[in-house]
Amino acid sequence: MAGLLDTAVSGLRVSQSALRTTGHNIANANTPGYSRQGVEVASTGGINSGAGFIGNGARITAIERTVDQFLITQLRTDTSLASELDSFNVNIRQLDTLLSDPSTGLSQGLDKFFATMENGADDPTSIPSRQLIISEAENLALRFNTLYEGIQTLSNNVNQKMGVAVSQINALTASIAEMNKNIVQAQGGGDQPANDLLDQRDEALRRLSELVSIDVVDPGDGSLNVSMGSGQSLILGGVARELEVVDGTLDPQLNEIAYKGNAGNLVITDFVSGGELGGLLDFRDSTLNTAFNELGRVALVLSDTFNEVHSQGIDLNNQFGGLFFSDVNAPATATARVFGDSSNAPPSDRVMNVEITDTSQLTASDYVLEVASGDTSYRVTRESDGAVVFSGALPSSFPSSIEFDGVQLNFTSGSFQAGDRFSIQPTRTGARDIASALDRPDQLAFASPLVTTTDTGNTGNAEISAGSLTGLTDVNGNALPLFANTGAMSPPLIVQFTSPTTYDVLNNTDPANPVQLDPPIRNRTYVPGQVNQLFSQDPGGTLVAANGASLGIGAAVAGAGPLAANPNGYPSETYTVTYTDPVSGAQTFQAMNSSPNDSAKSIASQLSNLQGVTATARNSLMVGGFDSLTNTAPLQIALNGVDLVEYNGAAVDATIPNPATNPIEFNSYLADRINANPALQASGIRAVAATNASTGQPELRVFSSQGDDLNVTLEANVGETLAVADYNAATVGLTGAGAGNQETVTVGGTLDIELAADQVLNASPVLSALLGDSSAAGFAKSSYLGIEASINGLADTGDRFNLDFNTDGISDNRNALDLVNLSSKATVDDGLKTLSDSYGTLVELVGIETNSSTIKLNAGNQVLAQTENLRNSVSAVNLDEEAANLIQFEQIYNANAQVISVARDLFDRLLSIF
Amino acid sequence: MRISSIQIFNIANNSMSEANEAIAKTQAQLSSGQRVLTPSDDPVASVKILEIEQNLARLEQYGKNIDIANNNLSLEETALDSVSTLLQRVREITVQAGNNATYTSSDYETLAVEVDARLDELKNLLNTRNAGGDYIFAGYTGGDKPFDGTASSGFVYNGTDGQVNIKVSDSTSVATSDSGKSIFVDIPAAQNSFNTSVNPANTSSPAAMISVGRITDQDVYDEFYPEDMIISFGHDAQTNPSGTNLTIRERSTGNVIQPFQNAPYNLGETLEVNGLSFEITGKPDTGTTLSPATLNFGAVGVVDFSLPLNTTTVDITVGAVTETFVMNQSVTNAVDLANLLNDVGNGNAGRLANLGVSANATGLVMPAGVNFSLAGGNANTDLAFGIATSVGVTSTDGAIAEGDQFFVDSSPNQDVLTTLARFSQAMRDIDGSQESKDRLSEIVADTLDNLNNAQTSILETTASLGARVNTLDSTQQQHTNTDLVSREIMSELRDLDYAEAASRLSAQTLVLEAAQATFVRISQLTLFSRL
Repeated sequence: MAGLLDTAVSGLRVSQSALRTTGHNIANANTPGYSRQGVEVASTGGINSGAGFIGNGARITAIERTVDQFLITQLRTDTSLASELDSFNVNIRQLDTLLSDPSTGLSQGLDKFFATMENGADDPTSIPSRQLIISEAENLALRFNTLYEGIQTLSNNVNQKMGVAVSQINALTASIAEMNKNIVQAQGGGDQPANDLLDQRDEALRRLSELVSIDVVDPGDGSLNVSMGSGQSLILGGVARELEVVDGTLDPQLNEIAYKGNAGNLVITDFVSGGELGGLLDFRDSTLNTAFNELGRVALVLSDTFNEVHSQGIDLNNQFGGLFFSDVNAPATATARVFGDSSNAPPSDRVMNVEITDTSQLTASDYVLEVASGDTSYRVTRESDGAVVFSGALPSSFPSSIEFDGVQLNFTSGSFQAGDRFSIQPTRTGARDIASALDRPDQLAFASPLVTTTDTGNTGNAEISAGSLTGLTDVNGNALPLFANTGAMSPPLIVQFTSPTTYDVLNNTDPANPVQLDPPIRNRTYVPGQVNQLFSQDPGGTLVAANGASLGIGAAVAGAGPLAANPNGYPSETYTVTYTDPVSGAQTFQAMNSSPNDSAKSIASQLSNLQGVTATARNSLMVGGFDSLTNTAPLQIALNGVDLVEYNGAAVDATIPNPATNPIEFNSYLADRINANPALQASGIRAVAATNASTGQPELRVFSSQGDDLNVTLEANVGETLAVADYNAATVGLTGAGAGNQETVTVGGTLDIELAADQVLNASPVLSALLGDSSAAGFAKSSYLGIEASINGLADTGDRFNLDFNTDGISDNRNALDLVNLSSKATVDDGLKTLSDSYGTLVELVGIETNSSTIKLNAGNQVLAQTENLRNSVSAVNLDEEAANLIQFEQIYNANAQVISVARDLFDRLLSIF
Repeated sequence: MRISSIQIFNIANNSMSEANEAIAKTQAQLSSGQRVLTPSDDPVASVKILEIEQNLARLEQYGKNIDIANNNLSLEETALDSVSTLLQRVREITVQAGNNATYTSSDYETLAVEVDARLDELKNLLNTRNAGGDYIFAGYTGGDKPFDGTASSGFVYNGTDGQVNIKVSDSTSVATSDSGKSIFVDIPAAQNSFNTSVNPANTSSPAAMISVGRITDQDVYDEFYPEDMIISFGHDAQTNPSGTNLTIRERSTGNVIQPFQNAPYNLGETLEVNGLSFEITGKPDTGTTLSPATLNFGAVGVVDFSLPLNTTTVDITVGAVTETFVMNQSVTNAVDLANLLNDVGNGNAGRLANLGVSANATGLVMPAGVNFSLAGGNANTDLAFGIATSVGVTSTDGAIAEGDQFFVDSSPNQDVLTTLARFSQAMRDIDGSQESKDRLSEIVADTLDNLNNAQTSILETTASLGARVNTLDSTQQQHTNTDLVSREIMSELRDLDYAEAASRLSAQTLVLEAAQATFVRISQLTLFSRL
């Protein structure tokens, strides 16, 4: 009986516990993270009664949760992944919408702006159209600014979310550490698991894995150690390490995750991955950064190219155009593009700035400048591909600058030290800084400053192109003189054809008296039937105008006739042309030796054979003082061996004017004779009977367009003289010495030598008798005027073309068309993309990333759902099952109660005997 | 596999929420009509869509450009039409003038009056303005009147060469204006012609003018052609008696065209040079002295007063005037020499005054800056003066800034206004003489030719206008076609296929309804309800 009672009571106790456990399961059916608990029942041992072992009932050995540790770990991993993808996806979709929405996106803004520009170009004098352009420019700049702010807001949100996530992590790790302590305490030394506490801790760990990817290690004492990344510990036993968000040292806008500690913060951002925090960091570092930089680059290229083209046009007030958009290199903007790591050693007096020199070379990447920690060498690394774009030593004197990728970094002053780091972000704030700089509609520069005119009196049919401005500054950045004065061209130019195949370009300040330019453009060859460019387009090109002491007229030589033409007396010289490669500094040399007495024509043609050198030669002389001559034998004047005075037998032809009495007609006679001679004509020698401007006396001007030597020989009566002068007005007199005696003099030509950029001409000897002092500063002068114009067609001698300032050219829209063409010109990324292309690439990039992120998120969610299912199928409560258990355990309870009742009946029966 | 209660609910939840999401997406597509709502829906298509949108925007703008271009060209065509009509009328007058040898000078006067009126009308037509107030024939300077001037001041074209272009497609620009110079000024003339103009660097204010001029003797001018003339006004003192004088030179050689070397000129008078005649009116600035001319005693030789000077003479020449100075006394020093030259008694003083030269102990000075020469002396005067008077010496330091200059440039072209002006002038020149009538018939023949050439020039421009309008039309057509095709492509990429979307929506709705129904059903199945 006693035994029976005990057995029944044990059974009762077991079923009571089982019922309570089932009730606990049912109550916690929806508790997140709850694992169903089950009762482990075992029979108590039996007592050996001699007739066999009699059992003593049942007892509960343990109440355990049904849990698969592997699935729990798997669940944490999948949760981290799905959470990371979700966080990334949410943010990138916002960016996607921002960039592509018609009301905020840039494409529509650019389209509208360029459409308005075209309108203005169609009607350049219309003030309303101009006003519209100004408004649209402001709108476009505003659109850039708004986009920037939108992206900036996203960035701020990311930072905020990071802060929230970190504080949530801290709260969780604190509570998990607390739970660790409680579990160790609760489980004591016993081996009964503290089921609910364990469930709670598992759930907390799962929530932690939503925030960041974690690794969990069981040291065996009931607590769990949590670490992340490559082993950075978060929870050790009962101690949790706190994290916090700090400003980045290199870029204060980029927050970093760090351990909170007394001795400064240990940054561990690189080790954080997975979970919401990982997703945020990934989004910030890859996509957000790209968005800022690409957008900024479009803004910078737009501003810079528009400003440049606009500055080359003139507005309604005949002024050159000012800034269209804000200056890309405004001092405040340039300084803000580079900043130092906050951990750079003091003193904090470093002053640097970054200027954009060539927007077509800009990349959409940031750069880091690191000074080596041992010495003063430094490297500049491009972040997008890790390439080192510059390495060198810290400058010893300031200011100093370096250039890379279209950007110029200026070291202005300060103490730069080993170990310094700087962040360089050329394009990041481009979209924030862009602003419209236009004020009034009349300031829009639509016209080109250059206008060309064909003189009405031209007898040929050559036409000159409309011409255009190609540059306002020379290679050193100094203003070119041609348009340096406001509202005028200094000087106005005139093209004069000296023959159908040669022309000069002269300074036309006084239209009655055009003079040579400095350096001169003279005796250029014109090829009919081709488009002939008038001006050098080489900004670095120079011209050497020969002005050596030996040039020109030589000494007169007398003797018995017939005298051979005496040589021009030019010495033999060596000319070396050195080409220095601007990038590599490598030098190439070419040399040319002239022979003694070489004509200018020959020297020029030898020089022209050298690469990068074009030389033109010319010659001229003046013959005057005819009034001492008489038209009687033996008078003879010869030019290059051609006798000019005609004879009729032994006497001078009677029709020839008498030079003593009619010097003017004699002059014309000589000119006609020269121009009629086929041999002289064939070598480009012509003559003009003119009047000396200062003496008013007749003089014969002889020109050799090819630079041949000109030789004049006189045979005349004693005492008769002739004066021969060269192009430098040096005069030699020829004196008659009677029949059979001649005196001759030769005039050597001169040359203009054009050199291409980076070519330097050196003469040996240095003080060249032909070229002048080749070491003098002005030996080779820049021949770049900054304009281009061309002539084609058939030209006649005396044809003229004017180039002047386009004063009041309000109907001219050439510069407006240039501005409009910027929309379709590939100005971004070294000539690969247009502005719209560049923005389109950004939109496409974000779109593709969003798309793939969405796909990955779906996959991640599916995987997570599957794992959750698995875990739930193992550990979660099934109410039907629990209901069945309830019934089962209730029956067991009833049965056991019945056994107690029977035991009581037995005892009563026993008692009723007595 | 064991299913927990949570799973049953989760499965139902998940499928319902997924179905809802799909329906929401379809709904958004249906209500916007677009398949691609954000670039992430179809990144490749969105890029193409963006490109096409830009293209369409550009095409729209080109359409507007073409409209503006058409407007400009038709305005120009109308103006040219009117000019052509006017020139027809002038042609009739010309034929009339040529055919009627019995007309008197007053008849011709009447015709000249009409031609003058036509000239003014033509000038107004040439200065046509468009709706914006810009002159259409002015080239780039649309704000300034292009054609200006009168017969007495010469006709001048103030505009520029050059045409304004409008971009009508990515690769085509069409010129929407023609400069008045190319149509009305560069007209080939029947005979060699000339233009008169004023040097822009002239300093007179108000500017002196040169008339449009006329050819009085074509043959003589043809010999001079194609040289140009520069007329410059010299210093008043360069002629004797001093006064307004001018010099005419050939431009290219500097040779003086005789007899116009510092020739005196009365302003407004007719100048006849090389078969041309014209007038200069107004007040041209004359030359100013830059530095006086000097010949110092002893400048070129030794000064020695020992030899006597009696009965020697020296000549001083200024410009065209030479005066002979009497050296009838001995001198012992430079002061004496100066006094001798300034002597009133022997007339030297008067001669000095005549020349505008003054003498002092240092030498001779011509304050007006005209270089003068000293000659005609002998060995004694050589020594006394210290200047080679026997050979002759000219001062070189006198410098004069030239006065106003006028250009007479030969030209194979003659502008239409000048043609009319010269014709009118020729008719007014009829004075009854046979010579003037002969000259008129020549002018009539020339004017007819010139008018024909002008009409040809206008016709050429009109033809060019027509060609440009054709280009605009065909470009417009091309744009319309491209627009259509682009919109089709964009529609295919972006627009929703409503049929497909509607059937998709009903399929998704079915799924949602099924999920909801099954959930209701299954959630009712629990053992507890049967306990």
